[in-house]
Amino acid sequence: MNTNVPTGTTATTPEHKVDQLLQQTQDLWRGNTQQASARPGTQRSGDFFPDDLFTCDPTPFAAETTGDAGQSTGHAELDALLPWGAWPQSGLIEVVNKQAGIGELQLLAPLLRERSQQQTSILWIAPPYPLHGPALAQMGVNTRNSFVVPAQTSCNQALWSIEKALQSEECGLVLAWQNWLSARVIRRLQLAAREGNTLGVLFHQRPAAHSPSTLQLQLSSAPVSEAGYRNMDVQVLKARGSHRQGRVRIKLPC
Amino acid sequence: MLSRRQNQPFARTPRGSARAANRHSPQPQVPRSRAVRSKRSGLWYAIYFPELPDIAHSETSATSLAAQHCQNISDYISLDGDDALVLEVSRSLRYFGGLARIRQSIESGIASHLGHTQYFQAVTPSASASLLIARAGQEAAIGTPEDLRSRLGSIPTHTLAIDLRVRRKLAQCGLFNLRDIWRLPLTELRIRFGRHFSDYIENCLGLRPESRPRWQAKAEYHESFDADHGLHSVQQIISACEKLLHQLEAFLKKNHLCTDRLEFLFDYGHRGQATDSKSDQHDSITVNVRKAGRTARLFLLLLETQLAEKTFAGEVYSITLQVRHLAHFQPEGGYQQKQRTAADRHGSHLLDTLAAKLGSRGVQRFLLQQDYCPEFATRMVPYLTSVAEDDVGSSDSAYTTSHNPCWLLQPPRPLVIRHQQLHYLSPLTLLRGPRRIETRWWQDQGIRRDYYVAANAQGLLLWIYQDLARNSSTQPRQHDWYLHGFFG
Repeated sequence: MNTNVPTGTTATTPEHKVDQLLQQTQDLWRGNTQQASARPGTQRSGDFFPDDLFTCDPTPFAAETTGDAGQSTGHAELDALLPWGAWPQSGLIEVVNKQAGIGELQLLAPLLRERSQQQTSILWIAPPYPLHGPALAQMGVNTRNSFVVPAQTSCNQALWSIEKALQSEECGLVLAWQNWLSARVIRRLQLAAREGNTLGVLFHQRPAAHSPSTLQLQLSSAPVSEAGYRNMDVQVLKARGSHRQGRVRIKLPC
Repeated sequence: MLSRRQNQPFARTPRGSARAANRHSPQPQVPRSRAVRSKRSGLWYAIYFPELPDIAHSETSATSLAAQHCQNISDYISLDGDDALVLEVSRSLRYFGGLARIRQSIESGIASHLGHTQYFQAVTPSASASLLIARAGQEAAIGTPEDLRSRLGSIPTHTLAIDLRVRRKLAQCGLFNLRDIWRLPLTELRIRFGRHFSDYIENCLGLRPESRPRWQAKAEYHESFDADHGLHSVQQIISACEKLLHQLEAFLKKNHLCTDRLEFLFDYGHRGQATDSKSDQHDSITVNVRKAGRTARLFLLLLETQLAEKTFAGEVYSITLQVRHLAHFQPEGGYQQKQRTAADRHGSHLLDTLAAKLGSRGVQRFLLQQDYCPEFATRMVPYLTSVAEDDVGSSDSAYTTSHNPCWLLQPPRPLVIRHQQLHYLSPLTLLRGPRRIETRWWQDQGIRRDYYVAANAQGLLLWIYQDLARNSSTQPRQHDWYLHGFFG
C-alpha cells in the first residue's frame, strides 16, 4: 500500500484516508520493520524495503502509537522482548507450561499486584490447586478483590465464565487454567477480551497452532542456580505487533 | 398553656416523693374526667407467653405472629423480649366498641395462629405496669393510673424487669413486694438503687412518659401471573417473569426498597408430568445478588442465566414472585456511599451472573484467618456469603518475598523415600528449612511439623514437611514426609 503523504500537507487523498483508517485500527497486525515505514513523515516515496529491515527497533511502534503498554514484567530482558515493553494492557496472554507450579505466578506477580489494587476484581478460574491466601497477600495481592471459580467446574461452564469475565469491564484480570484450547476458542476469548478491554491470562499445557492471542509464551523451568534463585526460560512464541521471537532466562527468587 | 411535663396525667403523688410533689405543686387542680385522662395516658395491652410454642418450618417467632395479628387492632406494637408484647389500644376502643371486643379479637387471633398456647394479659395505662402484671402471671384491667399503686402492690419484686444485682439488693433490704417500695421516697430509691430502677418504678406508676421501640412487620412482596394457556417455552416464561419483575421494580421504587433475593415459583397445575405428590407440582428458582438492587433488568439477566439450564416438568400455568428480604434503598453516592464496606462496592453484575449460572458455591472468595496451621489459614466461602470486612484479609502490609506457597495441596500428599532420598518426580534437594509449625496441641491430633523448601530436577519448588507428631506418637513410618504445596 502506498502511504506517501508529504509532511505538513493538508491534502486528504484517498490513500491518506486509508492510511488514517489503518492507523486507527489498533487490532491490525504490523511487523516492526513495516511499522517504521508506516510512520507519517518518516518514510520515503516508494520505500517498500527500508534500510533497517533486518534491524531491531528499540522503540516498538505499537507501544508508541496505541499506548497499549501496561505493567512492566519486572524483568528488563523480557520487557525488551515484548513489543509493548511490558505486559499488554488488554487482550489474551497464553502461557504454555507443561507442569503447573514452575514459577508462573511469580512471573505474573507484579501484574497481579498492580491489578488487584485497582477497583476492578481479579477472577481465578479453575486453578489446578487450592490457592493459599496468606501467600498471595504476602505477594502483595489484594485478596479482597480476588474471586475464585473452583476447579470442579465443568469445562463448558469454565469457558463460559472466562468469556463473561473477559467481556465485563468489572474484571481487571482473568486467570484461567485449561488443559488445551483450540485456536477457534482462543479467537473467541480474544474477541471477548477486546470487547471488555480486559486482560486474560490463559494457562495450558500445549500451544495451539496459529493462535490468535495477543501474546503467547512458553515457560520451562531450569535447575536451581545459585542460592536463593531459580531460573525459568521464557520463550515468546508470538506477540501481536512484532514478529520477533526469542527466549530469555529470568531469575526468580525462591 | 401547660408544659409537656405538666400535661402528663398524674396519679396519686407517691408518699414522700419530693420530686413528684414539686412537679405537682404549680399545676392548677383542673378537674378532669377519667376518660380524658386515660385517653391522654394511653392504654397498654400486654400479652405474655410463659411457654412459647415451637413453630416448625417458620422463620417468624410466636411473638411476631401474635404481633402480626395485633396489627389489625393497633399501629403501635412493641415487643418485650422474646416472650411478651404490648400494644397501645386507647385509640382503638371506639372502633372496636370496647375493651371486651378487643380482647375477643386478640384471643381469637392467638388461638388461630398459635393454637392452645398459655398466655397472660393485662391492660393498664402504663406499658411497664401491663407487662409487669402479665409477667407476674396475673390478669388485670386497670383504667386509671391512680389504681396502679394498689394493684401492683402485691407483686413480688423478683418479677421486676430489672438488673439481677438490683433485685438481690432489694431482697437484702427486705423489700419483697412492690408495696414495700411504695413506702420509700423515689429520691432515696434513686440514690440507693440507681437511676434506672427509679425510672422503671416511675414508668410502672405512669409518672413519666414512656417511649418503647415500635415493632414493624417485615415487608414482603407477593405477586402472581396466571396464564390462560400453559407456558411451554422458556421464552414465554421469561416474558411472563419480565412483567412480574417490572411490577416489582415499580413497587420497590415506590416504597424506597431494594432486595437481594427473589424467589420464583412455577406451578404446573394438575397437568405436570411429575404429579406424584403435591410438592412436585411446582418448581422454584431463587435469584440472589450480593448487593441489594431494584432493577428489573439485572434480575431478568440473572433469571435468564438460570433458566437457560432449567428443564421444566410440564407446562407452566402460574408463576409467583416472592420477595421476603426487603431493605431500605440507599442511593449511590453521597455520605451513605462512603459508609459502605468494600465488600458492598465489589458486589457486581459479573459475579452475580456467574453465581447464578454456577451455583452458590460456584464463585468463592477468600476468608483469611489468623491461624498458624496453613490449611486453616484460608477458607473459601461462597461469594454471596456476607463476611466481616476484617476477615476477608488484606495486603495492606508491605509485601516481602513469599515464604508460603501459592498453591496448597489439600490433603497433603505423602512423599516417597527411595534410597534414603525424598522423591517427587525426581530426587528432591532441600533448599531451606526447617521451619517449625507447632499448634493445636490442645486437640487430640496436635500439629507438629518441620517445613522445608525443596526443589526437584524439573525445576519445581515444593513445600514439604516432616510430620513430627506422627513420629512421636507411633513408631517411625515411611509416610512421615508430605508434600503440602507448590511455589507457583
